[in-house]
Amino acid sequence: MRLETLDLTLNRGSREVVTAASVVVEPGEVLGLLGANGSGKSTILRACFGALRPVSGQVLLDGTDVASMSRREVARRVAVMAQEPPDEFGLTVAESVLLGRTPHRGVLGRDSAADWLVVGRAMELAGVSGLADRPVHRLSGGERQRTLLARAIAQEAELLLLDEPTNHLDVSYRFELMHTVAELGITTVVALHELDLALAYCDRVAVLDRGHVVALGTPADILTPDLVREVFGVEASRITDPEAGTPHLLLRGTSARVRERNT
Amino acid sequence: MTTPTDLSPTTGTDEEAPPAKPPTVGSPRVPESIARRRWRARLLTVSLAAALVLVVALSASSGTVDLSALDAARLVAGHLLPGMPWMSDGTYTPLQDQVVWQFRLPRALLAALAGAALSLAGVFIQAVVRNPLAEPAIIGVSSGAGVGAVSVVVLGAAAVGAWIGTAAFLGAAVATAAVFWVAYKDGSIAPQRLVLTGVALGTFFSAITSYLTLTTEAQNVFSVMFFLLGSVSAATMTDLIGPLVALVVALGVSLTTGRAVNALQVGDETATALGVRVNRLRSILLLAAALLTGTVVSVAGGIGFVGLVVPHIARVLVGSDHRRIVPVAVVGGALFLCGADLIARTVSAPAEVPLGIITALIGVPFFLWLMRGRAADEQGMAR
Repeated sequence: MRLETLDLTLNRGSREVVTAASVVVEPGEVLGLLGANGSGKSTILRACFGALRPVSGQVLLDGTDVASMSRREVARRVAVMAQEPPDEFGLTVAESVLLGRTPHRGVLGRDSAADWLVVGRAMELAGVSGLADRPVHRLSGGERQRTLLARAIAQEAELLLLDEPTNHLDVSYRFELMHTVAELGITTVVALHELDLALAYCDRVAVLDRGHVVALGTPADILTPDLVREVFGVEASRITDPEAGTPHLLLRGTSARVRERNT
Repeated sequence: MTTPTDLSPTTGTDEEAPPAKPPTVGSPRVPESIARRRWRARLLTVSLAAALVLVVALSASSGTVDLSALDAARLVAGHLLPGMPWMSDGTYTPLQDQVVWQFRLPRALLAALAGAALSLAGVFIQAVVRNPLAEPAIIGVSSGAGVGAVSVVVLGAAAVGAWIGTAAFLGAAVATAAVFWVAYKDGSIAPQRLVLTGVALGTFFSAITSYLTLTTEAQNVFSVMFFLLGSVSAATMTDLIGPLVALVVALGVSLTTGRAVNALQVGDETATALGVRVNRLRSILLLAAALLTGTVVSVAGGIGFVGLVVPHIARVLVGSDHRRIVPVAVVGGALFLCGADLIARTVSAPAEVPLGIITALIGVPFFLWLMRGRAADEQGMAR
């Protein structure tokens, strides 16, 4: 699916948090949304599945305005992995993943064989097949995130929105999760804090600074020491992995400007 | 392509994952835990329903006028089917006929209906506000009905039963409207605001009821208490209509919203992302719960406890899926209240123990025992 935001201006309450954001995500692309806390990443994601109405501007899914689609139509095409894993009171992993089938339900909402087929595949892709019968509230943070990813996959959407999916995960889970997402081949927008993960897994990144899109392009082009200093207030060096030849950012600490501001 | 084994947990802090099962692509497989709970739900529903029929029959034959369960069943059949010989050949006295058809059966059926309706209302309310302490009374409907009923008693009005019912229903409707009106803000009904609104307005209505009760003549107090404590002892066949209609409507609602309700209990944002119109669903469930509670309260008074505990019992027994909880809670609630009423009127006959005392004495120990079990831990009660 092709996702397009046109001059998107968004408010939280009466405060404007995103200003005239225009981003195009091509089919099959993984776009990283980068920016400091409060820069508007989550807000843009919420607008992309129609949970937040724009003050002005549009979100287009394959050219159709999200605002003109029903909740269920949107949910059949867009899957969301929210930031806070919600309180899944008493659900097992399989039941939690099955929730992904909600927008595809018939009138009486019975689970069809097709539903279970999709759920089974989704659990395998996300690596939670072995946990199917466990209650979600007994899982570790990483297992829980993978369960949420399995649910998003079970939704069989054409666009995947991930809000900081790697938060609270240990190092190996972060790579595994991003790897799984990249392998899905679905158009994906992922809000990320780890710039190195963006370098490794995103086709392009959009950098947000206080609600404005300040840079858009391939991570290797965009994530320069200058930009990192400007936007994140951190001194960094770009180095190349001597073995793999991949670019990495070495973060050295807050820049002088930020230290001044904080004292 | 990533395989599940590549993604197995690798850190010491995580619980050990069971060995990955072989891939089952191409063959839909219902996970074992869900298949087991589904069967348990079906088995429970059927056996509880069978037990309910037995209790109703037992209820129709128990009392001071001696009759066997078979006699009671034959009398009921005689009223439902034309041309039954025993109705006209003097097998039964008019008193026996009257006691079964006009007193015991409506009473047993009203107890069953009230139990079913209040349990379903509890299931709905707990889903709407995502709060395990929620019960039908939390939305203020019962206390609103209380004001309506008590006003009629106090104003005299010859205390005609039908008027009490009508006034109680009106009171429930006014309370529902008031709770909606206050809790609805910025285009949404926030669960927290709803609970607090319901509790606050409930307290307000109770204060009015208390004032009316204290200032009325002593002879009225008994009628008031009778209503507030809840009772099915004065049930007639026409009393059944309201709760029955409400129950049918609400079951229709739950049939068509099962999956959406499951999504709702996980969170508003997630439910929205899964295509659920959260506010619409919440309003529908609330209205259904108010209708269930209002129709029951107007004919049977304030029967507490059932709507709080039966949904939890059902959840512990069959898990969190609403499509399994609803049938178990509805049939279980019917059996529970019908059985409790039978005990209430027979245990110290001819005196009657108030229904609420029996539901508490039987229900609480059972619930506490369940809550300490492993199944309850799996439902998150250990937290």
